[in-house]
Amino acid sequence: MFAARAHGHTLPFALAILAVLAGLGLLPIDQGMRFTVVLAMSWGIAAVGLDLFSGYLGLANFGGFAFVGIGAYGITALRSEAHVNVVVALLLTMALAALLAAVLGAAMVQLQHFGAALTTFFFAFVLFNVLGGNTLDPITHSENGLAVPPLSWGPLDLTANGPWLYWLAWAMLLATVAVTSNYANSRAGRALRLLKRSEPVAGTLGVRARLTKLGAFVFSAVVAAAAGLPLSLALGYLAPETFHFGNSITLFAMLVVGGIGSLAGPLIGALVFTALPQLMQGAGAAEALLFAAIFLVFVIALPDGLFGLLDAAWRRVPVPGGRLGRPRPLAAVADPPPPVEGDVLVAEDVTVVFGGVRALDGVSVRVRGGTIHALVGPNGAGKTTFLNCVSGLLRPTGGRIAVAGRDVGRSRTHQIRGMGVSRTFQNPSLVPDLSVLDNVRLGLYGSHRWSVARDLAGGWASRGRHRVVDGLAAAALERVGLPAARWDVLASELSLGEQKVVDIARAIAGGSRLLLLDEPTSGLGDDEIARVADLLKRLRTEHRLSILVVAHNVGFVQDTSDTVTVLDFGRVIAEGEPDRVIADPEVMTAYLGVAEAGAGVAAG
Amino acid sequence: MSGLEVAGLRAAYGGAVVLTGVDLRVGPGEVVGLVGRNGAGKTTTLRAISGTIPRRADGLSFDGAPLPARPYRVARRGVIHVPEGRLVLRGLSVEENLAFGAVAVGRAFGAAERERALAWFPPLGPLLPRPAGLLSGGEQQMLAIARGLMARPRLLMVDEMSLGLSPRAVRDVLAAVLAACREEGVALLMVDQNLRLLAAHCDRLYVLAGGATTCYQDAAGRSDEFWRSVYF
Amino acid sequence: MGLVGAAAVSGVAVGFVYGMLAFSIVLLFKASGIPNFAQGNIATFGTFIVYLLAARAGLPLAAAIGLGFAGTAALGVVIYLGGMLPRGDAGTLNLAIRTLAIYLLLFAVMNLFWGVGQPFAFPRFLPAASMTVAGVSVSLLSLVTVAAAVVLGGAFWLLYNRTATGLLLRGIADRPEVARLLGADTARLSGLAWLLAGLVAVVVGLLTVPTALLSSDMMDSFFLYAFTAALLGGMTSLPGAFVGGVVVGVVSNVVTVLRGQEISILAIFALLIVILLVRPDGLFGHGVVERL
Repeated sequence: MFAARAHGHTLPFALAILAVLAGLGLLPIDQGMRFTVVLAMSWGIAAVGLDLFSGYLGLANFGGFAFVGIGAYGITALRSEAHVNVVVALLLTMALAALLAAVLGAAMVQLQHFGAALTTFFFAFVLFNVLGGNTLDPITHSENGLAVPPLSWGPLDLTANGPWLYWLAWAMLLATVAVTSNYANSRAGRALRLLKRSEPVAGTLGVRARLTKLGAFVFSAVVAAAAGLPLSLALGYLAPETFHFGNSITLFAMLVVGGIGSLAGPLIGALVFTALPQLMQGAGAAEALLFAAIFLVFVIALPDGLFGLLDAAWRRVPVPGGRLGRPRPLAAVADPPPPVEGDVLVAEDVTVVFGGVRALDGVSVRVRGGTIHALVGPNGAGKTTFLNCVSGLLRPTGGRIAVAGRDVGRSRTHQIRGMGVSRTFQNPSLVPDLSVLDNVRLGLYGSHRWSVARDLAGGWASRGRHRVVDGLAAAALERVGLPAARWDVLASELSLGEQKVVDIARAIAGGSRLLLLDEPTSGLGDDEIARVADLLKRLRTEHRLSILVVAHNVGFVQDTSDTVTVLDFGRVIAEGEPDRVIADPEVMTAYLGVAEAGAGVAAG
Repeated sequence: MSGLEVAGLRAAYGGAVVLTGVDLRVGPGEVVGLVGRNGAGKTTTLRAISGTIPRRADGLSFDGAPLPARPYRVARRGVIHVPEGRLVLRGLSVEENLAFGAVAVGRAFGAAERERALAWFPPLGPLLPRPAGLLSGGEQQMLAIARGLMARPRLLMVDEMSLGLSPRAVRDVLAAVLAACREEGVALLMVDQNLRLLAAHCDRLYVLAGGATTCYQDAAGRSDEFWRSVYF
Repeated sequence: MGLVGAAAVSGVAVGFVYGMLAFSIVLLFKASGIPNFAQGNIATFGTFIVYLLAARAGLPLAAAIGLGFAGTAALGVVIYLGGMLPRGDAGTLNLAIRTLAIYLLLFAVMNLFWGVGQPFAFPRFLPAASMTVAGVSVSLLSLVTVAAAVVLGGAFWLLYNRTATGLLLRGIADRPEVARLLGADTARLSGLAWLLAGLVAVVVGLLTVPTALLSSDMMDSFFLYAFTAALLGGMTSLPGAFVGGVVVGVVSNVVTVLRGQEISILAIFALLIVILLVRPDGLFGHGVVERL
């Protein structure tokens, strides 16, 4: 289910829901309904924040509501015991939540899904016990619960009885939606979505996985804590049972039923789960049963949730002029990076041993600046392993690799990216729910120093940089020859040939001096292969890029490459100019195999 | 008894259409090879036949009856697919792996079956109690094939047997497989990169290119030049 | 012997109960690759069935227990057929989340029929006797628990290592795709695993209920501790589940005596995180936890 696509630019939907809620707030609805909607909006705040982590980054988190508990109790305790002003209490509590989330998150981001699921659920259990227990009794009054002091702001009565609490909750929800939407659709959000798709690929583009995941976790925790404010004011009284750990699963269920990875979906989910009981007067425990059943049905049959259904229906409506009507940036021509004189890549005696198997055995490869060098060999010869070593995904057991004179043996993927080495993958690993242009923008992730805070602040804070990024991304797409009409298409709708080309655009967008291409022609038809060949030659000749390409297609290699290295069983068996190498009998044997003289069959 | 008949097999993998119309035939007791460049779809073909991936075909039958869609049913019909990468059951011993091959299709496994397996693959004898994950590549390949034969199939499909094995191990394993299949009357469909090897031993060779197959009857007699032009 | 010593001894006994629940979790994980978050509630549910039959319907306890076994085994199969099998290729995370939904579902059903957290006194089926073994006072319940664990563990060991079915279950845990290619009906085998897990769950419930009151949330902390035990033992090791259970039982009991229950919960939580970070394969497992 976490492979379910996340949706970009869902702000209009979410705002529409907020408009409806605003309308509702203006109507003369009764007290009970008002209370329910305030509750729904509080859950909605937490749900939207959680969606960034679980929907866009795609990691399980079953402790979300625990942070709401920390928020509610923290704010209330500060206000009633320490007589702190509500705004200060809110900020202090959010800071506390951030701290706790950072500590818990530091452990969590190193875990796989199962570990994360269990850990967060256990955390919710721990918190529930702490709230009801004796250790923090002076603050929480354990099982006796905590009364929430009434709040008023000037003439505005913000208790559950007054109308103004509704608007406070609404305003907080609006702020949450706006900030989270900024996050999801920014550079930081794209990084999250790429991490969800493939961590190694993200690494090679300069994304620091653990830090990024931690940031998203802390964000969702802080937002959840903020939700504690309207919740506590609405309830008027806090008891540990309110923050039973099962509620964290309920929060997650809201995401799933509403539509995970869409921001608007979790909001719908929160409204549905809270509003439904109103319609089932006095149903009590039966409503919990109904919700659990709905949750189960959705997980099995409708993992995209209600928003997914809406979205599918929406797509059937033909929209004139494309779905995303954003202005097309002028394609600025980026300056090509300075050509490298001498050898851009020198690998000497590289050896990689995995558990007894020598994947690479003393491989030496030399790529001269401004040339195309092919790396060929039968399946399993070690070609991708070699690329992994050069790009930093794998540390060689022995030998030395230097890029433009600098040794890269100890460097991590994002550092090597910084040295101007970029690569594509056998499996393009584009983010399927991002547009082509967004995918290529990811190629620029490591190019500038940037902060998540500026992303959160939204478009107006980063307009200048956006123009630069848009320009460079567009230039890369033009260079690889993808027609502009395809730039707004979601990557999941591209053909394999187009995906491979976009992968190359992503790799060259940030400016690189050495391009590592892993089987750019596999799975392609003849004319697509010819187009890729042309592209590579243009990149070399017009833009002075150095290219190391892994390929199987002998014709392609002969057409494009200046020099070739042939690997077999992890060893170099031939190198030199293509025509000579291909005619080499040892190379023929490596490809065609060894026949046995006679069909004599001795058993063993 | 008509063996495996495949006509117009179409399949996709990883979102891309890989097979556009594969035709091949493996008669009872025959040894047939399927070769092609990397990425041509050889493994996809076997996966499609065994039902591991969804497929469509004008005709896909074994011994006159259409092949079922689900892998375990295909296996119980007598078509055993030994996948690439050997994939032995690592936590089980060698003997338990062999037993699994028989038990999975509901056959008994006792001393007689064990002896049969060892007669074909004597090197497995001293390895019987060892966890399968600790065997060498060649030994694991033997085990994977022996395990497949324990199911008493009528057709054995072996994927990339020579991958990752030294030439010597390939020679030993192939010899044993050919002998065992001949003895048991099992038809053999082998997919491999090692074109020369298959050409020397198969009754018939299919070359997979552009998603479809071409059949070469007299594979052993063809020259390297010929194969180079076909392959490259 | 002191309070700590007595706590440790009773910790061993309760550890065997955690171990048994962990055992059923590992059993399912080995057979299907998913961690069943609902296992605790299945145990509670099964115990409620026995209670209904014995205390409300007035059946003799033995019959009630027998029917309870049958009913819970059936429940396991129903959960598998209804919740796990449809779209069974949806990925392990999706399947794990389904077990969470089932956790909520069973909880809601129990709340509906038996009230939220409302305690019931389960009919006594063991005399509250205790014996002195090596200078330590050991309750009859503890001895029965250990005996049950040994019998259960032994029976499963025989099943897994000496029968064809057991061989199949082990094989499908190792590589389900290969097992299918060899002709194994993985759906039927998974259903069997869920049935067995249901049986074990009832045993766990019956052994818990003498010292705790039967209520819908009886197993809440239990199953989290059981998961920790399963991870500590290694999610693929059946005997490891018991070892993990004993460790968790002793640690939690001793810390409770020394510092109170909340700190004890924190201690187990810390233990969980340490295991996941330092040694996710646990003590006896072998590299399969990354599957999820």
